[in-house]
Amino acid sequence: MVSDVPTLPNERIAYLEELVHTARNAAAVFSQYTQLDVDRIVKPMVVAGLEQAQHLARMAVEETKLGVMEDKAIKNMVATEFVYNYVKDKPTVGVIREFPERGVVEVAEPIGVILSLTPITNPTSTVLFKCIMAIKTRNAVIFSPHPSAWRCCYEAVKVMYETALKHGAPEGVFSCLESHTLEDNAFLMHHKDIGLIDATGGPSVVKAAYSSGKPALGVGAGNTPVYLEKTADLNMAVVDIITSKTFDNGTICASEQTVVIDDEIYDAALKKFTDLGSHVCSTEEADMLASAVIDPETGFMRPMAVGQRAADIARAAGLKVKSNCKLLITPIRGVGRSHPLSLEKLFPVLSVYRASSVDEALKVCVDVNHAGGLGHTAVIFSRNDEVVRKFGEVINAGRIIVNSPGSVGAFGGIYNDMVPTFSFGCGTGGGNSTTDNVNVYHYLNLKRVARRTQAHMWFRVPNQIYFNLNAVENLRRLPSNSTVIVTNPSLEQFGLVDIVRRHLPCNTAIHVSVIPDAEPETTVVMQGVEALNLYKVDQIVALGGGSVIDAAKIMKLKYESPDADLQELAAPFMDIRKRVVEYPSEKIHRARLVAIPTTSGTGSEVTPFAVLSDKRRGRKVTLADYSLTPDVAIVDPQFVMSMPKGLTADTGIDCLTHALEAGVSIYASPYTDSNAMQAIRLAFKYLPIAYKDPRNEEARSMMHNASCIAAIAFSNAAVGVNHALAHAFGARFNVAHGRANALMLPHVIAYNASVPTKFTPSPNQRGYVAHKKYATMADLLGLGGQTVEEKVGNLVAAVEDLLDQLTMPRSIAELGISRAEFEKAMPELAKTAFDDPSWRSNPRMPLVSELVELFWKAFEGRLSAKERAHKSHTA
Amino acid sequence: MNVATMAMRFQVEQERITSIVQEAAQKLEKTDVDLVLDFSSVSRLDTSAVEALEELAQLAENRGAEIVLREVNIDVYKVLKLIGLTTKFEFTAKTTDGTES
Repeated sequence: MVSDVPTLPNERIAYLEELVHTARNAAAVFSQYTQLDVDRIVKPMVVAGLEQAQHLARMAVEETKLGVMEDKAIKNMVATEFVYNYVKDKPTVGVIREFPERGVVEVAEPIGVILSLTPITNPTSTVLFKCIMAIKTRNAVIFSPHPSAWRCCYEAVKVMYETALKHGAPEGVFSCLESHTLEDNAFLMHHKDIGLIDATGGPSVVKAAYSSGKPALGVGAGNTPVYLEKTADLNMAVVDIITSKTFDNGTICASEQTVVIDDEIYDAALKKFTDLGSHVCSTEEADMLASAVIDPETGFMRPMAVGQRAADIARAAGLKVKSNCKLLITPIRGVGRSHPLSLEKLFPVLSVYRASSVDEALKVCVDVNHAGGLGHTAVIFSRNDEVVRKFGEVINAGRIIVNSPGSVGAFGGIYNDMVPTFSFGCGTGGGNSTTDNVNVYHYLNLKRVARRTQAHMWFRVPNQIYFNLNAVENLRRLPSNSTVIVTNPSLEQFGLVDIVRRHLPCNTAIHVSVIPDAEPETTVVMQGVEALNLYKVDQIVALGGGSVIDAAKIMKLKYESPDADLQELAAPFMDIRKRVVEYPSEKIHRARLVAIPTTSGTGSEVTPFAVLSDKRRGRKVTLADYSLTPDVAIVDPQFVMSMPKGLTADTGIDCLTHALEAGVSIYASPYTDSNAMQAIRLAFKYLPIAYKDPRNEEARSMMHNASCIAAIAFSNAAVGVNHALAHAFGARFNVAHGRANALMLPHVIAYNASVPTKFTPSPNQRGYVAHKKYATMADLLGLGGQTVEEKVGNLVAAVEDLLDQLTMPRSIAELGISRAEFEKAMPELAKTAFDDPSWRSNPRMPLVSELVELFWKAFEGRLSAKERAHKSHTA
Repeated sequence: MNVATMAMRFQVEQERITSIVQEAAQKLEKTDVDLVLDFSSVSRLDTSAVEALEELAQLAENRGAEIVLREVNIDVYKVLKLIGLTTKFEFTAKTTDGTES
């Protein structure tokens, strides 16, 4: 209990505690009921409510002295029959909705005990409505009626309770506070066993409910603007407005308060109101009426007017009207406290405003809406869909009723297909938690049982891959009128461009675009695009290493979609299927991209990635999209036969790293595994041979294939933390990418194979498998070992042996980088590595401190084979 | 508590939950004894059964006795949880090998 709960006499506390205790037990027992059980109870309750509709209406009018008995009887019938019609087939127990395609099931959980405050204006109908909702949802309710409507509410609760009990409801499921005070309400609102407060009433009641700290449904006052637009069906509109505003003498909070009428139809509208029994007040009469019905101090209605007949109100105000006058019409010239009749009037007094334009009309409606009616209800009569749309946009109301009565229309189910209710949510504008027509779903806790779903995976590769010696001959199969060969100067000098030129179809116009042998820059790319436009190419042949192929990918993108914004397209993303940016699908040109790699490492000929250096802005952008993947890859070893040893080693290790990282990636699949494993096997077997014997055609060919196959794996499974470290380190110390990878590789395998500090969330993986996958790789390589741990150890040793065979540096220190220099660079290295997207597919989620640790391990370096053997022997 | 040797046992039947629980309460009032109520045949509680269990729990607390409810099904257990009675009783269930947990 909180401290602001009022002090009550002990006997009163005991009474209230017993009330809650009984309701709590009833709710607990009720939680065992099935859908069939509750439906068997609800139907006879509805019938009982219908049978007692007139009796309860009569009681309500006699007790409250508000409203019209006949209308209250109709409200009681709506509260039972119409609400039943809505809820009867709705599941509200157990599983209520299933979404098999999403693996989600919604299960209903009752709230328990609801404290329900009911109003004086709609007393019995509100009780009937809430009783039906509560039984349908297996909740117990303690009713706290407005003191001036207690007897009729008590009777309504009694009718519902006795019928419910007779048909199997738990004892104590409904109760009604007797002789209660505001202090009782405050006590109950703070009681630990009250699950929800459902407060229907004035602003003070709603505020008290929300202030209690309990979950609450508070629905309160309105001030309904009506726009009577010039295209409206005037006959229908005026009858609807009179029907609605005079219904139960205007006690429904959704009823019309101010009608804003277009100038063109204003006089005709007022004449119709008059013809149908309304009295249009003069200015003097309007002033007299305002003084009589609105308290100038508070701006609120005077209670004497609420729910009274128009003629009686007129008499009380000193106006002379016909005894059968239905409605008092008061022209106003503004909205707000200085125009008292523009405020809420729960009686048959209706303000009218003459508007000279749609714009003015909408503004006045917004003013009325904001003068106490936010979130509640608004009405428009119009046959102009554009005006209706605009009205719906500018008015803040949970219910915007079109071409029908406001009060009766807001109930739902009569004039429209809204949910039937006696409780209108007014949203935050009205200080409420919902704008809905309150219904059974607000009396339930909805639980979502969400099954693990497997994300759709993919395996995408270029349409055509030609491989083995002289695969370049396949260029002849590719028809082209105009081809640009993108390459770099050294390849042209070595005659490789001529080889390509010879294999293009003889009717193809061939042009060569030579770009520098470095990571492509924006200016270089844009010059290339100019060439593509100049020659109106339909084919681009990228001949070179990763940089050339990347440049060609971006040239193609800009050639086909000139408006593509490379900076925007390079925006970071976590899941390519959910990325924010979209690559252009509209293309003004189309060109086939053929990639012929001249190194065996990057695999750019089959990847959807391209790195661009933007020197002007001093940064790199990485583009990633499957639309960047070349259309054709030609993996012909004749283009790598002359690769220098160092480059062979660097690119070869890059290839191996791709395969190792794709193999343990959280996006790995059987499709990528098969490629990753094969690439690992080929790299271990052929890389040392290609390194030692560069003219060995088989080794070159197999390493060229390994590079492509590894790239197919990582194009679909991505890489990992090794690449994140290598990118940061390589950029900072200007170390070749493959060499940087090599320095990290043994340490990263050991890191991934140990129990992670943090797991990377990976819905596609069942448990942590990185160490087992490394063991499988060791088995594939025939490295021996009995346990997973031994096999991982053997794999690390095999990688270290391979690196030694390639005479790769064993440590960062060996590169001549001092400890002090490295230490100084460390904060930036760690930050850059953590920002790198590569690690997001790594099985182990790296902490920044772990990245630092890995950098330092790479700095200290790996042992030589001899040192390892000695260490092993000593151990 | 050594359930096997010390306690008085009651087999609670679905149709007579209230009267059997009340009977158990009467025994408790007369003798200092721990009780075991077998709920294996009970699938649902009504409000009178809930009241009887509340009274039994209060009596046991006053007398320092321990009450074991045996094989309470999950729906009934949830009712007891909602009214705050699960802390007042001990619960045992038959395990798959037939022993009680």
